[in-house]
Amino acid sequence: MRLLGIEIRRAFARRLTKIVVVVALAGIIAGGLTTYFKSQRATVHVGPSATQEQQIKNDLIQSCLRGGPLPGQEGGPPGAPGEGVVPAPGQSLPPVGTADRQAVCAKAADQIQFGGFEDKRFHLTRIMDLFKHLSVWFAILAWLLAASYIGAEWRTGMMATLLTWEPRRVRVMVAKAIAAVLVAFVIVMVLQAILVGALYPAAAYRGSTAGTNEAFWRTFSYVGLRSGALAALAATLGFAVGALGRNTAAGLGAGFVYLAVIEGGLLGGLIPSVRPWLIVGNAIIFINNERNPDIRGRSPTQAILLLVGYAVGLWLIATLVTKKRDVT
Amino acid sequence: MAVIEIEGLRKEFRRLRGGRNVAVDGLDLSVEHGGVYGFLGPNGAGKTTTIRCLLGLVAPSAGRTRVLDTETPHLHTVIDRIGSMVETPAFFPTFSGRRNLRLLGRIDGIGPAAVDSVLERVGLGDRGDDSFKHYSLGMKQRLGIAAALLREPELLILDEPANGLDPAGIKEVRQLLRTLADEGRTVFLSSHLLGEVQQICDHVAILARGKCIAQGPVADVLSRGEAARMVVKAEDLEGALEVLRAAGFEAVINPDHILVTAPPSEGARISRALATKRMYVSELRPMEVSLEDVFLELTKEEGA
Repeated sequence: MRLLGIEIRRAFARRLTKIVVVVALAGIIAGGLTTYFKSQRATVHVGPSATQEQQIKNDLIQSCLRGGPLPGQEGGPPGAPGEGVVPAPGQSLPPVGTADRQAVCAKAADQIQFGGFEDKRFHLTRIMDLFKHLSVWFAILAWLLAASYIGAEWRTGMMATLLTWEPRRVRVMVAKAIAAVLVAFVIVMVLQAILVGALYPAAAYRGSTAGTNEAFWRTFSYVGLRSGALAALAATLGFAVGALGRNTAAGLGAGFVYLAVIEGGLLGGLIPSVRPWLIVGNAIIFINNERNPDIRGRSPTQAILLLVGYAVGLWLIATLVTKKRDVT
Repeated sequence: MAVIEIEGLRKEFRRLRGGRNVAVDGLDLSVEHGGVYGFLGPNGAGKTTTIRCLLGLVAPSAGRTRVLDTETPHLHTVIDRIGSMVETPAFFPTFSGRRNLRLLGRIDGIGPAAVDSVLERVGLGDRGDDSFKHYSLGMKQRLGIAAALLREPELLILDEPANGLDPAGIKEVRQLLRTLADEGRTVFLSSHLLGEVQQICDHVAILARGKCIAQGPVADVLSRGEAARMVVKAEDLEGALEVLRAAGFEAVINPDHILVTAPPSEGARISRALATKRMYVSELRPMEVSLEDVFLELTKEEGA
């Protein structure tokens, strides 16, 4: 436990950890302020100008008078004719060339509503999707922190020094991995909590908190937890790759090459049958907590179990290699 | 009681382009409790690899090592009785020296007072709060020694502890190691500073190409390096050389003296041989052999 405590202190005290947290906090604060000032209680009208609207209406009326569809119906611009304008089922339009037809066409055109009103308010319910998207970045962050944590130990030679104090390498690897994962998880959870706090004023004072009932917060907290869990898994993978490469750059480079080139390009693109076994697809299923039509038969539970299996498996390999390999 | 026992130690490293590099080749060594044991050898002789094997950092290809009566795979049972420093000490660069030692100390429940004490002992009391990355090489070495001393170990394994130290620092370390040995600890010291080793070591082992070519008390090893020789000075060196050779001595002439291959006990015979030919010595003494001479002689032989 002493060793674990030391490793946790060390992981939190690292300069990179502090830099990452400070940069993330700066981003969150900037995002919160931007959202606050961009969010508007008033709605904004969008659509064509009055002259353009009149021109369109005239064209539609002319078309209607020549036997075309009623303005606002098939082939017309967005919007709908007012109530009572559209003939009831079975009832046909007045014949072309009659005054009735002209009246019906003009009335229908007059009822058309062009464009609409854009809701420029920030709705707090949007944070659900925001967190799902951010979970990818948090996972990358966790990978970076964990890979650099173990990579720096090897690069500085501190690992050798530590092993002259605690020669049981498996114990050292367990303590370090737990510290790396814990730190990544805690940082991601805290950052998410701060992000909610940063965005809340924009919704409460200049936007909308509608829909944020108890059920919403329950679902939202599960999304946050899943994001934290994904970060923990990414940290485990990053730690394992960094330990195998004994280098931060190796840990990051291997991760990038695998995810972007091998998984994203070669395996995912060329061999569709392996898609159910790739990391990214399963991570998406897990974060969204719903099945992905691209990966048939993979439930969120199966996805997380697979990801845990990958993370633990790779960590075990890294630990065995560390146990056997010389420290020179 | 032997605190370090090495039997038939062999370590091979694979080369990147195939083949193997034998760093240690059948090394046998026994280090008794107490005193300072010098572990000498030219670069690449296998000293650091041997130390890494002792500390479990490197797995031997063959042979076995025992430290404090414990096989290296079970080193964790006695690791708190061992202090070590391997090559240039490595610590977290952005942490201060004091913080680095406190982190290590916590593993064994060693408190801040002990950390402050060892920092003072190695002369880093005033610089303990500086970042490790801002330390000079000499200060890094001192911090490494401090880390090794932190556990108050009964066995110290130090790999080139004086590396990078200035003359005053070297002297301080020499005195510190001697003091530690006098306290009853065993100091296993790898060094290339032969003069230093000769001054503080009780026993030495000389390593060349992964093999031990000499070991034992310093005096014994010094006498093994080359045959005892006597320095003879006289007015007529050419004439004296002729007389000594005629008397059956093996002698060679140098610019200001003659070197006679003979032990000090032959001094009287040398003096008499010259005197009978009316040549009188102005100086007659045994040639002092330094550890450096022995080291160079032995390693040269091994190389040949």
